[in-house]
This record gives sequence, C-alpha cells and structure tokens, in this order.
Amino acid sequence: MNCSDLRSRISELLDKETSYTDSQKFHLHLETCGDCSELYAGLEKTRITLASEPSKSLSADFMARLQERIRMDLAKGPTLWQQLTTPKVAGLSPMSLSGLVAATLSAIIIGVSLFQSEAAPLVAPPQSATGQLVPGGSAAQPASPLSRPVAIQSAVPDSLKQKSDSTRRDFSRQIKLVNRDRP
Amino acid sequence: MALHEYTDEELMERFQDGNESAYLLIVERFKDRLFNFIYRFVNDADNAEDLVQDTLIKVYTHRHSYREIAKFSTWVYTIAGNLARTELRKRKRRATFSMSSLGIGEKDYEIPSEDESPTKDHEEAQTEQNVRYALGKLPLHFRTVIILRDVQELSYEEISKIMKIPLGTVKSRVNRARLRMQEILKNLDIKHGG
Repeated sequence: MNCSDLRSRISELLDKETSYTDSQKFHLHLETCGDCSELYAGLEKTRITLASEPSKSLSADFMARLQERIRMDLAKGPTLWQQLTTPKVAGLSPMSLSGLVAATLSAIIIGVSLFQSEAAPLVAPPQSATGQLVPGGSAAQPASPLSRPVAIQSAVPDSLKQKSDSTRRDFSRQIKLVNRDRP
Repeated sequence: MALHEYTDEELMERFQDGNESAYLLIVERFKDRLFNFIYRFVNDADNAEDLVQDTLIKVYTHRHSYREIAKFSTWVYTIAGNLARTELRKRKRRATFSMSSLGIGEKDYEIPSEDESPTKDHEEAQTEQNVRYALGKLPLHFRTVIILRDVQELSYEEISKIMKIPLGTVKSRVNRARLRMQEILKNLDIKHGG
C-alpha cells in the first residue's frame, strides 16, 4: 500500500466500504504516513461540516407563499402538455389520448396527400419510344400501382374534379407548345 | 393508518388520488432537506428558497408524472438538482455579460473573512465558511456529487439514479471531488497563513 493506492480509494475508507483486510492495510499506511493521515483527517472534518445544517433556514412565511403560488398556478389552468399527460383528461389515459392524436394526424396527412395527388398526378407524364412526351396519352398506358383507386376518385367533389380536368388541359396545352417549338 | 405513518411513495399515491393533505405532509418532510440541498448549490438563501418553492410546485403540477417504480426522494432531488443547475447556468450567462464577471465568476463565493459568528464557536464558523467556499469552487459535476453524498447523505445507488451515471463513475467522482476539495482548503490555509 502506497500513498497513490490509498488516495485512489480513500473515499471507500471514509464511507466504511472497505473489506476488513483492506481496512487494515489502509490504517497501517495512515499510521506511517503523515501526509495521508492529515488528508484523511481533513476529509473527515469536511464531511462532518457538510452534513451539519446550514446556518440559514427557510423564512416563516414559506408555506403561505407556496400555497399562494399553487393557488395562482391553478387559476392559470393546466398547460397543453399537462392536459395530455394527466390521466383523467376526458376520462382517457395518456396512451389513448396519444393514440387519438396519432390517428387524427394520420387522417390529416392522408387527406392532404390525396388532395395534392388530385391537383398534380403522382405518375410522370407518359413518354414515347423516342423519348418525346405523349400529350394526353395516359389512357394507353398500363395501370400504375400509384394510380388512384376508382372509389377514391368517385368520392372527390365535382368542383375538385373540374379543377383537376382544367389542370390536365393546361398541362396538355403546354406540352403541345413545347413540341411545336422543337426543331 | 394515520397519514404521517405512510412512506413518501404512499403519500404520493394518496396525493395522486386527490388527497391534498398528503401533499402538505410531503412538503413538510422535504422542504428543509431541499433547502439544504439547493442552498449548497446556489449559496444564496433567498434564491434557494425560491428554488425550493419551484421544486415543490413542480411536484404539485407534475404529480401524475411520478411513477412508484422510483423512490420519491430520487424523483424530487432530480427536479431540485435540475432547477439548481439551470439557475447556476443562468447566473454564468448573466456574469458573462456583466462587468462583475471580471472579478469572481459566481455570486457570493468570496474568500472567507475572519468575522466571528455570535452564535457559533469561532473555529467552527470559520471551518463552515471555508468548506462553503471550497464547495463553491468545485466544478459543477463534482459539486453535485458532494452535495448528494456528503450533505444529503444519499447512497451511491441513489446518486447514480439521480445523475443517470453508472455506480462506478459515481464512486470515482466522489473520490476525486473530495480530494479536489481538500486541495482547495489546503490552499486557503496557506493563503491565510494557517
């Protein structure tokens, strides 16, 4: 046992967490080493001081002020996070609430993506063997896995269908213009 | 069974069921311990008291976040420790932008004077002052383990849970922190010609 060994484990000795054999070795070293003995005495003194109560204490109106702050906090009402994490909100657990939120978000995302697919088709415009774009040639192409199901198309309001048709017509007109300008 | 016979965890369960008296009993049990804990961090009684209030309000408003798998004391010390560390970081930021930062980095950690306390033995008061100074000079990660272990006398296991670090790391950190503190105290003695 040397000074370095003792210093690396001196807390064990202070906390009385050493085995009997190790404790004997530590104490033997402390009896022969003035520096380590002084260090150990200092550590013990510091620990006793730290464990003693601080000279200052809580003010007399601490409880009254705490109750007042809680009352004010309650008057403000729960935050959104507290509403979501408190089990008794609308009789639902946080898990069911989070499930509900997830389902709502999914429905919104699906709805938005369907609307966007109506306005701008997901499949690229068909091309001829020469690489030229074929205007209005979608009917000749095989069904794509990304094509929208018929049931969803029929559920789209007429106003949106008209908008979609006019978008396609604009698109066809632009392609014709591009082809006409090519050499 | 009377309310005061319940464990902290049982009291918290009663409080979660809406029993406000259980909360008041929790406050009674923990307010002084929390004050002692936070005061050692911030070294300012008024500030420490406000932070104890913040901690206990969080216990009130976040009562449903507590699950009985953890000891209540671990949970409450985690809240208090986080608030104290946040406060110290705020102070550090403020000090960066103020002229006073050219002097001492953190508030109130001045070199102890030779003032005599009217209520305490002179030597004891001086030792307490020196220890407080040395604690304030420790880096935050060392200060935290010293406060949890030597001020609050928590077990190494509990400190490991509060600080979310392995048990072995807690033990070695406590050892290094204690040695660092002794170095500071020794230098202080030399400075005072002791």
